[in-house]
This record gives sequence, structure tokens and C-alpha cells, in this order.
Amino acid sequence: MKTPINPLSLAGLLLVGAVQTALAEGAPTPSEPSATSSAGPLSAGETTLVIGGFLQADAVLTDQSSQNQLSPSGGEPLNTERFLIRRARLFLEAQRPFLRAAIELDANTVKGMAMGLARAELALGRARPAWAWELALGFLRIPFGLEIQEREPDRFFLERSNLSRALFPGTFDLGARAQASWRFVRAQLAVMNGNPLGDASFPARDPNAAKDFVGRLGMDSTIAAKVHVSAGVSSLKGTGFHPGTPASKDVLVWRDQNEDGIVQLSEIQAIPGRAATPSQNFSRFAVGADGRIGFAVPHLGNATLFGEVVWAANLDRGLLPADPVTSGRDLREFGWVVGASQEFRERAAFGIRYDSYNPDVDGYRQTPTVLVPKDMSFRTWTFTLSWGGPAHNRLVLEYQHNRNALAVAADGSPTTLASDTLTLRGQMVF
Amino acid sequence: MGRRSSIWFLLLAFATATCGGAAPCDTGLQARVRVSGGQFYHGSIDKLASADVPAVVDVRNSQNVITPGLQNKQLSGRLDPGSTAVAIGFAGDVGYWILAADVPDADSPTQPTFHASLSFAPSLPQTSYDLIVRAVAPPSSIGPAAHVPLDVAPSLPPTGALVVSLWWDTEADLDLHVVDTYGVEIWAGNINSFDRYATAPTTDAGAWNEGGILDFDSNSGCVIDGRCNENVVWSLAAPAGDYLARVDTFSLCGNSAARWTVEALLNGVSLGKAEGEALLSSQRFSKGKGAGLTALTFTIPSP
Repeated sequence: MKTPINPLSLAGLLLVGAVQTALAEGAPTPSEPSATSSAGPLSAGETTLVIGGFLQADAVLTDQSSQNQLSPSGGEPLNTERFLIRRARLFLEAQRPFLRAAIELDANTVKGMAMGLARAELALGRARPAWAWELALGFLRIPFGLEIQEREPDRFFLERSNLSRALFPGTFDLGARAQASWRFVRAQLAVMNGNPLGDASFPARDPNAAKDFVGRLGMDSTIAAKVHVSAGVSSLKGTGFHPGTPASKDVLVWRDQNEDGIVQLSEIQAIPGRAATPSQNFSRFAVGADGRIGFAVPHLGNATLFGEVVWAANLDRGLLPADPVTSGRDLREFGWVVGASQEFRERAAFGIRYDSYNPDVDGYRQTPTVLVPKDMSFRTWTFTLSWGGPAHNRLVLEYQHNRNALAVAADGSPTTLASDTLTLRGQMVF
Repeated sequence: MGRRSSIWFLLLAFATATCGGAAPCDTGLQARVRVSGGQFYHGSIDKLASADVPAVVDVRNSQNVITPGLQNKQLSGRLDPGSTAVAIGFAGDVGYWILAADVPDADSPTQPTFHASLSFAPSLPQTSYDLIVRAVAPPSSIGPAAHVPLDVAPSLPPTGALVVSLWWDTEADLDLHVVDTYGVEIWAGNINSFDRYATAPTTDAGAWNEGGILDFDSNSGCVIDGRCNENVVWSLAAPAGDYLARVDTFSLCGNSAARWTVEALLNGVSLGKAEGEALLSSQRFSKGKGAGLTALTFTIPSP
């Protein structure tokens, strides 16, 4: 007998915070997994509703880049030593045979109070113990690499590496995705706008009709007792957008060249207006490989080793956005990340991660006499202590030691701009 | 030492070992002189250990007189061969700036150049300053100082027979309104009290100078100019009678308050002074002619 969904029972579920894994652990899981909980989902006839969410509240204890000033250019506060809500997510997922719809809302105070859509997908698919397939449309997780496909509350480290955040400033983008699994094989292919949430220029919009093709082919298997391995290769081929400029008017400019504060004819310049320039498209791509192995260490707990490497061109959309039209040449990016974490009797865990990301492998700088190569790499050591378990409900203390080329040393050469951070996070999944 | 203590020790040891060498993340807004595009370092430039080379060959500077808050003052020059940067700062200031050297000019192809755009603190005290420029060569040779004397021009009140002045302390848009003895209001909407048709007809081309004139509408529309000062000036003798000065809080431009001072000077002698505070509530009143709260009334005696 089919029973319509009762709004009251839905509200009751919200009250008790009933959440459950949407798909059974261990089975092929092509769709976005839901949060875990001991409570069960709400079932009404053929429809199953899963409600859940998580909260990540941060306290930035120290940040070397923090200043009690406003940005001279934008007027934004430069103080970063503060309390903030990093993510407050609430999701609702409805499942029917062959059909699934999910909505995830996000609220945060990273740049003031903000609320918005974090995920919205409509999927058609089927899962069996040995295989599964799914076609999805909407605001979807980008199928590339390792870090992007980790759900935020499951990630051991507080945030993704510079590499991942530069190339993919958001983990979700609008598009269509097909994914399938058979035994240990995983395959994903998506057509997406190419402007994920967090994009520096057109977040969650698409200024050109060309789409990005992105996919991952990998494996995911338990190869021995308590040893789990996953690995894959990813690729992206797409089209970026260089914005044109509108026409400008004639402008009269006074430059007080002799600094006497008096306008003189020789100090007045007429700057003629300029005609509009057209927008242009440019191609971009990325190729990556990733791997992770998890195993149990006797008397301690689970350990995880992982790594990822990515080569890309004109793909930086978050850190130093790549625009080959402006720079006059292709901007090649290269980065890699390795890390490890170890649980201690399921209550505490410790992890180390090192990542290196170079936004312009061919970068150079002009010295007074010659052009010399410039290493613009961002390198970060991350040390993370977690209490309460490796994921989900836990308290995390993380220290990041950052190296970059953003400052000028006393001799005029690039050097690191101090930006080490120490952050405490409380997280609860419900 | 337990396992937990060992982890903390290793973490702190690593942090200590790797923290050295990074440049401070500082806008340098506390410094009295700022260099656009330069890297700010703490410490006085005149206290840095000096080497004989590299030296600053020459410094090109068009004016030695500056004003508080001045922006985009150009300073350029040439450096000894081998120089890769210049250090620029005031002697005794809280810090100095490192600016990478530029390519040499065509007429001296071995000498690197530098091109700096300077700005100065709006609160710069009126005195003389010693701007120091020092060439830098790798790895850490900082050459002798080249001195550029700079004098801060005194910010004198405008001269005139009668001057009514308004100052305030935050980057808000306050307006001075002065009503003369004939009831004519001088403000941003009527900057001169002289009315050719209200007085006896005249053919004198300079007759407009007889009125009280508003010199500047500071921070107008919250386009911040940093002056925070307006004056109504009678260059010639002001008519005898009663006058009134009002302060209108057009907008606090995002500030919470502005403390203001109004003073009237007759031939340099104070006729009266008033102080007050503009609050958010002060913005509610109507704008334009007749706006503002009365700050000061005074009388010009008959000659």
C-alpha cells in the first residue's frame, strides 16, 4: 500500500535528527553519499526521505597574515583571527525506485552572513550488489581527482589543498553527469558549465556556450583483509572565458607633475575614450592521477596514505586566475599533494599533508639586467590533530605552515609572505 | 616523555624551524611614508647595517615640500651596477619599504633604476623629514643612504577679513552653512553670498569677491578627499551685523560619529569657537538650504 508523505512526520524526523546512509556501505555507490547516523530514514510508500546536515564552527587562533586594518583597495577587514561558521549544511534527499532528488543548503559567515545552494541534483539510476549506474542533472559534485570527491565532513584535514582549491574553487558545478560502477571499476563523465561556485569571475554562471568535459576512471576495492585501495585518473577539457571591456568615454586628467597644487595647462591630459573590446574564449585542460590506501595498524587503528598529482593549463580559477589572453601565453599549472593519517584507538587521530602548487610553471620576472625564472609555487605543510574520531563528530586542531612567493625580500627577489595559521574546528554531523 | 608530548614537541620544533625568513604581512599603514608596490619591513631604515656599496647614483625629486595625505609623489633615480632593489623610508619611522629595481635607462645601460610612487600619512606632523633611499644588492648588502629632505607645508587657515571654518575628525560628509547679516545662506548649494541683482547694480568685474565664499565641499557625497575642512571666507571687509554658522551632517559615510569644531576669525582674532559631535541621528534632518544644527552665532561690529 502506498502512503503519501505526511508533513508532520517529516517535521518529527527533523526533531529527532534521523539520518541514515543513503546507500549501503561497501556496495557500488555512484551517487553522492549522505551523512551517517544511527537513526533510520523516513519511508512513505515507495519514497524514502533522508534528512541530515552537518555544522563546522571554526576558531582561527592565529594567522600571520592577519592585520587589524581594512584592505586599502577594497575596504574589506584584513583581520582573520576570528570565530566563524565555516559550513552549516542541511540536506534533504528523496529516493524512489530508479529516481533520486537531493537538495543541500549552505550557510556560512566566511565573508559575512551568506546562505545559498550547495548541491541540487536529480538522478536516475539503479544499483545492484555488483554494479550500479546513474545519470544526474543539476548542481553536481565535479568528478575529478581525490580531494574534490571527498565530502566536507568526511575530509580529515580542514580544507582541500591549494592545488585543489586553485583549479576547482568549488566542488560543485552545474551540468549533467553519468557514472557507473562494476565490481571494483568506477567511471564518471560529466558535461559542466565550467564555472563552479567559488569561481573568481562568474561563479555558478556560464559566460560562454562551450562546456567543460570532465571525468574520472578508477578502481575502488578491498584487496586484502582490512586493506582498502582506491585509485584513478582524471581529465578535464574545456573552454575558459576572457571578458571583453565596454566602451569608455573621453576623460580629462590632471597630473600635478610639479607638485605645486596648481592646475597648469601642461599638466592636463586628454585621454580619449576607447571602443569596446570583444570577449574571447580560450581552451584549458587538466590531467590528474590519484590514489589512496587504507589499512588497519594493530593496536592503533586505521591508517590512510594518499596522494594526487595534476598537470593543467589555463585552469586556475581560484588562486591566481589564469587568463592566457591577458598574459599573452598559456599558463601551465602543476601541483601535487601527499598525506597520511593515523587513528589512535578510534578516539584520536593525527595527520600530515604536504602540497605544492605552481600556478605558472613558465613564470619569470625581470631583474635590472636579465629575465630569470620565477618559482611561484605555494607549498603547505599541514599538521592535524583530531579528537573524537577521524571524521564526523570531532574537535580538530590544525597548523598550516605556508610558503609562497608573494613578498619581496630585502634584495628584491621573491620570498614568502608570512601566512601560517592555527585553527580549531568543532564538527558535528546529524 | 610520553607519546602525546613527543608529537607536540615535534610539531613546535618544526614550526620554529620553518617560520624564519618570511616577510611580514603588513599593509604599512602605520608608516609615515608608503611606497606603492613595495614590501613593508619593520625597523628604522637609518638603523640598518650599512655597506660601502651599492650606492644610489642619483635621486630625481621635483618638490621638497609635501602636504599631509599627499599621494602619488614620484621619486626615481639610478643605482650602482649590481643593485637589485632599493630601500625607502623616513629616518626614525616604524618601518621602511623594499622596491625591486627596474631596468637601466638607455643613457646609462649599466645602472639599474627605480621608480617609486610615494604617499604620506594624513596625520603627518608639520616638520622636516629625512627621506632615505638606499640601494640593495644580493645577498644582503645595503649601501649608504641618499638623503632627500622633505618639508611638510603648514596647513594655514585661509586668509581673509572674516573666516568661518569647520573641521571634523572622521571621513564623513559634513557641510558648513553660514548665514550672513542679510540672511543670505552660504553653503555647497550657494557658494557665494554676493548677489549682483540684490545689491546696487555694478559694472565691477571683481565685485563677486565682496561676498563670503565657500572654498571647498569636503568629502562631498562621501567621495573622500581627506581634507575634512570647509571655510567660508570674506576676502574684503564683511558687512557688520549678526551671523550664524550651522553644521549639517549630510552623511557619516559609514562612520559612527564625527567630532567637529567651528571657529570664526575676524582679521585673525577669534570671535567664537564651538565644538560638537555628529551622530547617526544627525543624518535624519532635511538637507539643502536651512539644514544643520546651529553651532555658532557672532556679531561683526560696525567700523
